[in-house]
Amino acid sequence: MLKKNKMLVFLASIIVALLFSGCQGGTADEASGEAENNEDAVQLRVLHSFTGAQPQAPVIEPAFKEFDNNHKDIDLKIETAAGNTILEQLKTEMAADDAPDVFTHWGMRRTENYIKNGVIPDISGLIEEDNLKEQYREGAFGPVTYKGGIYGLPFQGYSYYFMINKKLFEEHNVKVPTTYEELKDAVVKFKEAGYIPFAANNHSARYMLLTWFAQKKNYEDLVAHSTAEKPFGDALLEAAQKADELAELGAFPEGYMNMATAQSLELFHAEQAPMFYQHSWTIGSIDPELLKNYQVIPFPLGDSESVPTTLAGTGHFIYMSKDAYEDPEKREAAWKLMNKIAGKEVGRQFVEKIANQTPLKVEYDVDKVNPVLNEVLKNIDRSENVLPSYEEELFASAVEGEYWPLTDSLLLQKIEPKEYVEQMNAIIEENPNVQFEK
Amino acid sequence: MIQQKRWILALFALPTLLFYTYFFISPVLNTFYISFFKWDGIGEKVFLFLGNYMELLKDPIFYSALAHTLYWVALVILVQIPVGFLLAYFIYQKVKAYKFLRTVYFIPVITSSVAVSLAFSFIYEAQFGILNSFLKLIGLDQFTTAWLTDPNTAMTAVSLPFVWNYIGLMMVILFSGLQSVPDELLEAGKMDGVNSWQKIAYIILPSIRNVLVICFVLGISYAFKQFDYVLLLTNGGPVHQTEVTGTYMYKQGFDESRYGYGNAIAITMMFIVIVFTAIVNKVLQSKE
Amino acid sequence: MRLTDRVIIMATDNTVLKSETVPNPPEERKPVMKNHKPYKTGDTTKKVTANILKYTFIWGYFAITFGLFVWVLMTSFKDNREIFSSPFGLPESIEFSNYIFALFEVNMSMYLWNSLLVALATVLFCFILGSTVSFVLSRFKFRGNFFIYMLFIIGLTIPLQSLIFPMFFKMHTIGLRDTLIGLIIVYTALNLPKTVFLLVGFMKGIPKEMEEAAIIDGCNYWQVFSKVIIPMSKPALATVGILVFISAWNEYIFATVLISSDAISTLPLGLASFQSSHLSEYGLIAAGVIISIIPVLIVYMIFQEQIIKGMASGAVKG
Repeated sequence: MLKKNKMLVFLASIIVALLFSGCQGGTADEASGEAENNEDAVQLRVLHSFTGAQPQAPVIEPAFKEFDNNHKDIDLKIETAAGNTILEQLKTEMAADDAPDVFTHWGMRRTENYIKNGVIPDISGLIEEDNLKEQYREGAFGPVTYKGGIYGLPFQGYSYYFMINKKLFEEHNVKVPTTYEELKDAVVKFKEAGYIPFAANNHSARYMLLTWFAQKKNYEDLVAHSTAEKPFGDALLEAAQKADELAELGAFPEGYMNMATAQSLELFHAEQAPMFYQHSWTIGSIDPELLKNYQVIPFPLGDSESVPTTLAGTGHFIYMSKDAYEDPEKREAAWKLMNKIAGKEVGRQFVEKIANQTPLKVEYDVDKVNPVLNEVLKNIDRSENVLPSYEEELFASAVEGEYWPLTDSLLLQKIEPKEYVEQMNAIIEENPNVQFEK
Repeated sequence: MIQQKRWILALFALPTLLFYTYFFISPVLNTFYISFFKWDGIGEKVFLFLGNYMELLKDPIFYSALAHTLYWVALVILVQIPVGFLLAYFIYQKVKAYKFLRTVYFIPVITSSVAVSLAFSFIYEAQFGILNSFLKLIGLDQFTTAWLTDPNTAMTAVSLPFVWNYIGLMMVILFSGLQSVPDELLEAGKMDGVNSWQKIAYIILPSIRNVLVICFVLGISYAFKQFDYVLLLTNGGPVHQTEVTGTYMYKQGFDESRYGYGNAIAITMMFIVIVFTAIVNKVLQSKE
Repeated sequence: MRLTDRVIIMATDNTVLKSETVPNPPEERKPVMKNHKPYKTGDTTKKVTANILKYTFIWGYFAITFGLFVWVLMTSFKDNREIFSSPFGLPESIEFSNYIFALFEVNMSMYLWNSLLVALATVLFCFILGSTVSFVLSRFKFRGNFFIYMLFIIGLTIPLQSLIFPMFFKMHTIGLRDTLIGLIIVYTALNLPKTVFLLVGFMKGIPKEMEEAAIIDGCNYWQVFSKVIIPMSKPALATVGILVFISAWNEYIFATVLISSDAISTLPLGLASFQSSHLSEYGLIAAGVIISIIPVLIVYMIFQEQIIKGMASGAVKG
């Protein structure tokens, strides 16, 4: 009996401690502490995903903090949801009609629903007022342009890059591939030599498919396909056949379907695989000690009709909520904050500090930049054709959920390339991209 | 005897009932309500009445997810509880170092599912994972595979952490049940000269029937509801190969913004679990 | 204490009576009698193989569980290169850099404390709210009793992830979103069905005579509850305590959505951010796993005797 009482006292004292700490619970953020004295400060609730181990955290988090410190009249309450968990977080907050005032997110592929329902406001007026368009690259607003309006400011660019391990190519006397046929040769030779040809996961394989497809298309074609104006045809079929063939040849590691991108990069680091095709966020994670062995090359051409193409564009944006927009004070504060995050200083740091691409036209010190990023950027400049990636920018929101498993089925040889094209057409038919409508 | 007013009892029950109704029952009713609508989370709700349920009946992915979930239930009944029982039984016999063993067996139970998933993702990893490394080490190269994507192994591979995680719990519950088996019964058994299997089958199991019911009800409800292992290890993929009803419902709600449909899955699963639990109760109770 | 003893005696008395007054063993035990002879003369080799099987089983399962634990522990001292080159080897040197990084850079120490608070408070709330209602449901007949009980049982069957949205709305409406108290309330609500299911089952098994005696002695309902029923339900409370603690300690999905300030994040959230595809520091992950296990392991080791004794003394009577 005594023991039980002791336990109860123990538990009860913990609850008391808890109640005390609970009072500060929500706002336990040192950064906002000082501004709390200022009664007139505009309160902004911010939700972003670049925290913890995220590669962009070292730039984004200090940027928010700096803004908070430099603006005594604005009080930031910062909430974070690392990486993809921001998807659930934002959806829940939106559904509860409790949207954060300012938040980071992907483009229309994940905000279409909010834009359609009017919970994210059109900010094209603000952009025009400040004449902001000039400072961004062409097409940077593509993924946040919806029926003529613009809904967010871009702050992170992306591209897919093809990197090889030069040393391994030389050691095994394999020709660096420039065409699909040569790529196939390289795959076979490396396979025979006991290597995994590609340090890839299912994302890489999908990116390859998209790239071969895009090599035969221009921007207008891509739009026409994504809006279901034109059905997919031979170009997608051929691209699907290539990806399918590579999978069958064993070009990808065992278990690649499930492999985290960082894990696939480890294969490349461990020199178990000579080739790597990935999203540009991985550049910062490449081991600098091994850089001398690496080379960034253009993605091999599908066939004689293909044009050298790089898939690149804008991936991340900062938005404000409708409620913030409708309150003049908040709108002003939120707009200032958005301009800070999507501003030139952060853009420069993205390139110099964390080897990420920026959608801003900024000057940066080439010597400070990660050499792989330098090569990737040069490679983009050399490409005849720079197009947005379908899955990053052009597919309607509802496509992603079906298009990923469908492509996985293709790679697992569960469906034929022909069925793949048919089913893609069916998916697009059902969920056409409507952002270009007036 | 002091006659007390019955209404005093209400004071005991009322706080809990209010709390429970407000924080649990009303969310459940909300789930039930939304399951009749097409709703994306922010826009207008469109009333479909049984539309979501009709669609569910024709959804092949739901059926495969349900089959996978039933596979988990089978693992609970055929592996988790029996292994838990044997461990409890041996510990009850006070084998050497039983206290130490008891503590070690319990480690998985107190490890969070996120941590267990992390550990297992490293075990199964096709290139560097220790399972494949180990097989290569002992010369069984031909058995190495990509455990989480190979269609033959994927479902079992995601199930193991779940099964393993709760064996220790079953052990502790069953162990406490074993402690309550009256010594007289065992003594009587000894005098009759029963062997171990007979002792278990005819004396022990019947006398811990109530504890077994608890294990079954908890185990089955865990099996039907648990999904974080799948979410963290494979996210149901590749191509719904490891989809369980829990992940499917979660993804329909959050990834595809089809909350109405997700809720219809939830309500359907609720009824399936109720039926299952009732059957278990009937089967185990009827022997009395 | 005295009351408890009496009940246990009475409970065992019943069974003793049963086994003594039934001259013939129950029917299913008859074959046992027939086997009696052959077994006695039986061979020892059979016994030896049985023992071998038994010990292989015990120590085999031990090896898997303990091996995994030790392996994670060793991995936590290595860096990636070492992990890939010798996954099973002993670490080259015992370096705590992974731990220091996890505890202070990734703030695991703070997450640990938050998790502990949440889990303990949830257990306490479940005890208070669960035991009172279970007392009424298990000891008194009244109209609506079964209905209320079924409300809790239904709670046991609903897949909890479907409640994320409505729970979030609730917390938002009452202004407890993104607070530890809000999280505790949610966990308490989610665990109440289990608590009531176990406690009602157990309390039903407590002989009626006990509380009648107490009432005759002049106890009121509160005294019956606090002096008779609760002390006798200790074993069930221990079971409930473990189950609730574990589920609150492990919970991840609700925490993801309800908690967004880093300062009040719980352990699973911290661990999950490790696994985000942007990170493949396996040594660090292993250190995180170990950090998440050690405190609970210590708590369990301290209380394990009480838990087991508690659970066993009256036994889970269901």
